[in-house]
Amino acid sequence: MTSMDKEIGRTLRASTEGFVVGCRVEQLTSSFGDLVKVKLNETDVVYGLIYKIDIDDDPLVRRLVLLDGLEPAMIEDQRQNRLVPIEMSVLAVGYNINGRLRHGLSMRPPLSLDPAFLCSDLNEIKEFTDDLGYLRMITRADPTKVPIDQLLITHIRNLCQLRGEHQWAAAAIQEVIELLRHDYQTLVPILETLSHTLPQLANTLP
Amino acid sequence: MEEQNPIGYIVGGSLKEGLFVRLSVSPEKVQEGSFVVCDSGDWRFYGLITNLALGATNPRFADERPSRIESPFIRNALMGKTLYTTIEMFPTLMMDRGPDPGTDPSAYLDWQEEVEKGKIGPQPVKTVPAHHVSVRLADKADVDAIFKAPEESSFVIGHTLEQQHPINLDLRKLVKRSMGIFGATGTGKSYLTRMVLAGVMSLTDKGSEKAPATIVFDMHNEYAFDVQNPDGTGVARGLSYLFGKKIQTVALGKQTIRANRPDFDLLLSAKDITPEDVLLLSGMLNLTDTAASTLSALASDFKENWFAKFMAMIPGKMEEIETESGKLKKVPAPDSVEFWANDSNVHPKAAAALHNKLMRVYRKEYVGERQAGNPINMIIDALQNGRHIVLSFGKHDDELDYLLVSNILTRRIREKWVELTEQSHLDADEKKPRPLVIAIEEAHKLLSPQLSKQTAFGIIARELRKYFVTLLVVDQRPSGIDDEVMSQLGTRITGWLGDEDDIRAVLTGLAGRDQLRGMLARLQEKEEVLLLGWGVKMPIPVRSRRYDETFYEEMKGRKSSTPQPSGDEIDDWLSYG
Repeated sequence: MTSMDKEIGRTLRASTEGFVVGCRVEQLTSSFGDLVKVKLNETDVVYGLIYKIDIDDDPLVRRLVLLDGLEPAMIEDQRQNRLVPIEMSVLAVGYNINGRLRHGLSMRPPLSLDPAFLCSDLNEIKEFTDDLGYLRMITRADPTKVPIDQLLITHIRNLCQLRGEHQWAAAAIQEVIELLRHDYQTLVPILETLSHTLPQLANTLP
Repeated sequence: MEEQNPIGYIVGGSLKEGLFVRLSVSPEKVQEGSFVVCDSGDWRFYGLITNLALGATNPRFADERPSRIESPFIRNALMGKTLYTTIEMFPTLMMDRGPDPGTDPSAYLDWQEEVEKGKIGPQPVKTVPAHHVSVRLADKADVDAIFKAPEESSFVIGHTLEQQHPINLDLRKLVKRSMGIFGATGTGKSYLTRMVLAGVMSLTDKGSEKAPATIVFDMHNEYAFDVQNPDGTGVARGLSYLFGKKIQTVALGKQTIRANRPDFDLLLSAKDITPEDVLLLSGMLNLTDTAASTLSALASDFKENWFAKFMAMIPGKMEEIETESGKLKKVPAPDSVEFWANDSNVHPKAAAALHNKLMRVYRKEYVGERQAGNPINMIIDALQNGRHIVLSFGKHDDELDYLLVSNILTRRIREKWVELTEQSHLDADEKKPRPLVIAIEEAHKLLSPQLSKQTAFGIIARELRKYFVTLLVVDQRPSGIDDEVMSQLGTRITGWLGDEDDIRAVLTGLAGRDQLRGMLARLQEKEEVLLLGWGVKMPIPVRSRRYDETFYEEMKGRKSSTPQPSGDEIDDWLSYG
């Protein structure tokens, strides 16, 4: 764990395919598409990408919604002292066990209340994303649960900005095309969006 | 080397259908007919590209242009991954790759020695390379491995289409079996034939192995002397320019050929013509079914003089005789056709009709009752001595002249070669006859299904090399040649053919017909030819070399090592006349 890692919540429920992190409002600093990790023990971690953030209601919110002239202080109080946590669904894409980084599913999932962290250390992010094998975990996810196209677009766009390397984005796009080359309906909209959101790729050599 | 770069990798296929190769380079970089190679395990496979096909991982990628993808990079990446080209490779030969020179240099040298001795070489394909094996365009070493010929008899017929590597023919091997040169009008058949003939004529005796002699039946007067190029770009040199006195030019009848006097004239005596020669002309002379029995009676009565004797008869000549009752009666005169017919139990009207029709032959300028000298024997002697003959028909260029003269001459030549071969079998000291190549143009006129069983050419084609006589068949209409004859042609060199029947005929009896059919139909109309059959280890399309000054110089260079006939020898031959 690096000193830059920031706790974003704790595990609510988990499986080998992914996990759900619960957090308070003030912990909500991560976003859709971010690379996060959960500590399994002192050395081992599971990596995942946030593919869904749920903010559920509770009985108090239901009642407050019906009030006229809701005071800002009341709104703020409700947000800070929610009865149910904000839930972030994470797709497992890799793990690091005994110092060996792997793309794929870990042998065991995180346990309840294991702390989750946003990956903020650029070196760690680069180490995990240099090899693009983890993109396969996204394209093979259950499309009824995971918005594969949007997750890929957001992740690639964010990583391109974070790494500041067009070549990485170019390689990632090539990998996505390779993985989805039989799936016109998914692939073409992804590429259309990336073409708009990453105009700097126009100058990249094929 | 660029040529070592792979152009793709094998993704499937079979021995029957050929191999499918996913192209990893732009499709513009390869063409149908390219010579390709792949290494798999212990074997190196050689083959030809016979088809290119566009494919897509999903048909929509091909059907719909991704116009909303603005980035050229992404658009190109998408096309590169989802749209692809598959080539079909027709595997033709495979060869043991030998030990790895890096790990076992000594074994590699032994293997190389065996290759050089010819003990190890390319063999027909009996298996297939593995999946994902890289395929590359053949380099010069690959071309040499397949098309290398002994230097002395090696002849560059052309170059591979893309890499421009020279393709050699082994001329001594080539002439051991009959061969054919085909192509539609205007595809450069005559130039190609001239080049092949020049190559054969440039060979010289090698120890006990005699160089082949050649006789060309030059119906259109193209081979002996210089001719103007059809496109007006100068002249194409005749074979006599290239080979001088090694070639004897002969004209049918007394005439000049393209304003040149030939070395001698071919004049036929009536004795030279047999009843079988006449029967060959049945169609052209419109002979009836009774002609055969009439000719048989003539041959029986007059033996070899039948033609002159028959032509000397006067049809319809009558004389008056006195009957026992003292009356005068008109009867056929003793020198009339009818008199002989009655005497020989032949229908008089049938005999008279045959006489009338044969007069067309007898009145030919080159036919006489008796001719001075014996030009047919002169031709045979010259051929036996290793000289080459170009017989130009000049103004006698109708089908009847061609069929009659070429068949008579070929029959006589064949009889001589059969005699020589049989003598060599009986007497151990007797040398085998010199290989002889008979070149015939417009071959379908002599080798049609109707005629091929009767002409000497049909017999030669079927006998193969038993008597050391082979044919060089030149034709624009191979479908007009008897299938049985076509199947006996060892090597075929063919230019573009437009007609499906002609393409089918050229591919008769060859493996891989289906793969080669399309390639043949798509040859460039000029200068591209497909080499097929026995004389080449694998079929290959080539850009034929040009018949130009460079070629003339090369031929003259080869010829300089050829013994030239002495002046006395030439005088001897000419003294026959």
